[in-house]
Amino acid sequence: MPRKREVAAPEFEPRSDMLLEVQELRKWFPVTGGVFGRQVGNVKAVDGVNFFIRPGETLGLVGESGCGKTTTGRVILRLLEPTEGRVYFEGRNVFDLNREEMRRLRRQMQIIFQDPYSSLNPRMTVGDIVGEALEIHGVARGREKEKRVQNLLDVVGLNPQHIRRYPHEFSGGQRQRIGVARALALNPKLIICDEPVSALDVSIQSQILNLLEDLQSEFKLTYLFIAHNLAVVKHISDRVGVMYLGQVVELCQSDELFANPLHPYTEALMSAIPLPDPEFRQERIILEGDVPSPMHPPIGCHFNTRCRYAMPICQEEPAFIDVGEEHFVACHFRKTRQKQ
Amino acid sequence: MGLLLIAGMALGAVLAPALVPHPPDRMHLDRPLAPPGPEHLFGTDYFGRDVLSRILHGGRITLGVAVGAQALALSLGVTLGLLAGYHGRWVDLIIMRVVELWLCFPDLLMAVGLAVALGPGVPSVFLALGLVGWPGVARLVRGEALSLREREFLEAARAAGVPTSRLLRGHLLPNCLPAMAVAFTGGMAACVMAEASLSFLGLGVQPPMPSWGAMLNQGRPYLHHAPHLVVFPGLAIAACVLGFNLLGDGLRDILDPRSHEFR
Amino acid sequence: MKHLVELKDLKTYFYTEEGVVKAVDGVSFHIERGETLGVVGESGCGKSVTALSILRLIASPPGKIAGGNILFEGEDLMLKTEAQLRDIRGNDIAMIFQEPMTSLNPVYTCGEQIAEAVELHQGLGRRDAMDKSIDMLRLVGIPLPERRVREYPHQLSGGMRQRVMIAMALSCNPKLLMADEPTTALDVTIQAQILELMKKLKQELGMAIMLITHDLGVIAEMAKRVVVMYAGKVVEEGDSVSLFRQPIHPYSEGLLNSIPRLHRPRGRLHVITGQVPNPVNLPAGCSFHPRCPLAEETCRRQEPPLIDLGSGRRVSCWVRAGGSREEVA
Repeated sequence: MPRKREVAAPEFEPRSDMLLEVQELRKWFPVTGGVFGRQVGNVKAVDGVNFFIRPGETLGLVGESGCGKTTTGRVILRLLEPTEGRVYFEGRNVFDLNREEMRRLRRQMQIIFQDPYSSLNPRMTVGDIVGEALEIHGVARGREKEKRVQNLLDVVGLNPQHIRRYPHEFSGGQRQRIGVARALALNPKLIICDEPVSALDVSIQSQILNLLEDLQSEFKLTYLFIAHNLAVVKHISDRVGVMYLGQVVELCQSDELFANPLHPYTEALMSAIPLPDPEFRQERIILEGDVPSPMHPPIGCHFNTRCRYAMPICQEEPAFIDVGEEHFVACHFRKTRQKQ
Repeated sequence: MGLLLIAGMALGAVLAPALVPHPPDRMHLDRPLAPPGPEHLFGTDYFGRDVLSRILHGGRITLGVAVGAQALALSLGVTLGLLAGYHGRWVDLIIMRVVELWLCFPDLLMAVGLAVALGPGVPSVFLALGLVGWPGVARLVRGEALSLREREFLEAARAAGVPTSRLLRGHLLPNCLPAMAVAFTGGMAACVMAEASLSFLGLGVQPPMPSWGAMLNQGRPYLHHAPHLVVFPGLAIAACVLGFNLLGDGLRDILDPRSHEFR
Repeated sequence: MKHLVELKDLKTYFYTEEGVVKAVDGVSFHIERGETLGVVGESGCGKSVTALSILRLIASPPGKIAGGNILFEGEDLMLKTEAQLRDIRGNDIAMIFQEPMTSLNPVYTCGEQIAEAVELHQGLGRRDAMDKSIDMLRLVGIPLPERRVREYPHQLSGGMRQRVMIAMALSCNPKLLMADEPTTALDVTIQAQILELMKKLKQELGMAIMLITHDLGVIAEMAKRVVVMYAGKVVEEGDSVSLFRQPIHPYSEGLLNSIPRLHRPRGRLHVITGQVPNPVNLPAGCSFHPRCPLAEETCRRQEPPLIDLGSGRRVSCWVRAGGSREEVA
């Protein structure tokens, strides 16, 4: 069994002012091998994740490929079953819900996917794609459904007349708008945006980002915004969590994170981004080597193999604690670094 | 091209009673083994029955059996294939082991065995062929389902709370259709062949009922004096198999969504 | 002084069932010896096709270089035979691609793949070629090159594979390295490693780099000069400092304003409205006019020429560079 980490909020009671609270979430994928398909190990995709989201805010989750950010989103929605941990939505642990309760909860939590091509069923019309949820949850059918769908298309900036078209008749950006309309259909409280703009062209990205912001203020939405592009995450998020090898290593207000990164990984990640300004040169911290395999993450702090501050104490797992004003960080050196 | 051939055959089979110049069982005992001529376009057989009429009527039976057998194979195969592909894990394991076991036996041998066990006759041919056909379909559909399972639109549907049964019927199945259509045509060709083989061996359709395979069998002794007895049913079988194969290729092209999706 | 590469009115068309796709439609620019030229644009703007055209690697049919000249060291590649071209490809001009996994052959070891190019172009023997591979792997910063040289591509991580690709491309000391989205498939921290490596190698080996990407950050970081492409045409060209500081073409301007910045306060993003146009059916006049906030009557009717504004700046826009040269000069 995984070892317990010290938890940010010592009380395990969910906080009532949070829309979503994730506690000690783990998702391990078994790896089988050998002739008999015996389990030879686990890919620890998500390995002890903690965070919370307030109603109406946007929490960004950023990290490199394989850090577990996408899996985290899937487990919260129970598209994958967790290995361990709790996810409270409005104070109720979603993993305790039975099938029927879960079905009802799905009206409250929706998802927007990365790939606007594979996320839309090529054999369904836009009307059916967007309207299916309405029908399943008994919200509307027939003419009524059609009207709702047309309304939704209008909201996301598509032509309502195109309700009978198929996905392949639309461009990438328009398809992503269809995905947004589908997520909005049931009037959810929380939308998990999983890399919603990374497959799009630069000039289309800003259209979708602005749309998401407009919809948030119009429908009082809460976003969990998952992406690998720090600039995009910073732009849209109120608070940002940085993930590395299945764990959130730093979490705080968006501006604070970029002004005062405490975790060495956050620091390196930010310095690695090429800035679109040839006159501005920043000191760059080049991380050596590759991200270790999530099957055998380093003992102690997962980052210690690539960290330039690594010390013997980093062989022990650092606690994920609040160093003030909800700036959480999991690093043994945060204290000394703070003083600097 | 394939479609034309098949449409012609199907039409001939369906309209056989109206089209045929002579009732298929009517014996013209005065002119047995007559060569093709104006009265009997394809000649007559040993009992003086009109070969053309019997081919048309035989088409009804041959094609009917094939369609029925394919329907059985598809419904079994698609259901099990979808379940295996979608659920994975132990469901997949069990279904696929059964499929593999089934596929261990050569198709024809299996059909022969089943036909013997069930006794000769139209229903048993249909059952035997259907039971032989399903594992192939199941395997194909499972492959499709497996590759589709990774597509995000299925996750999107699950996130919307779409129940599993609807997910399988409404989302997976339509996306498997092209593969199924191609499997169907291929299966039809195989069925026509298999039916002919079974009947030829005397295990299938029994005389006096006409079927292409049975006609071949009955015509065999007269190969030298009256080759038309064998040639015409043989041609019918060949044309039919060719037609279905061509149709399958055509369908593959038409149903491939990529051919439409390019801009 | 002669340029290393000079494209003159290059036209590469693809003849499809739906019509003629003018992927590259009258592109002219040059690359100096030893410089890094950034080519930036969105998907379908013709930047990759331009690179493949330089190598004369356009599959025909459906593609065809329909016109123009490609001068490499003053010689027109359009007049070369296939055998002469093979001599140039991989030797004088090398290319690396976005996805190193698909551009490496999975059944050969990394060493064998590098050695093959060396044997072919430099006439080295097998042993020398393998030694050269090890040297190249060391040069691109792969740890334990003696061991890695015997490994297969799937045993390496994405970043390592891209390093192998670079080692392969540079093994024959090319004069021009064309890099087509070399870091797009990589994570930021790995991207930083690769960009750093490319800068270092350019200093050591002195080749010119044509860097194709949609990422303005990568361009700003690497390139001295920039060419902005839209719908198969060059819309703006200039040195990167002045282009990023003051873009002249409304498309370059919109592009720069629409990306979220780390070091700028949050605010609403600027938007380029509309969609990237369908290459089969490009708008008349200036291809950008349906999405352009400044579009005038002339823009709808007539294609703007690429006007030289001096000091290496060229812009193709009726409004910003057409009749108002003084304003921007």
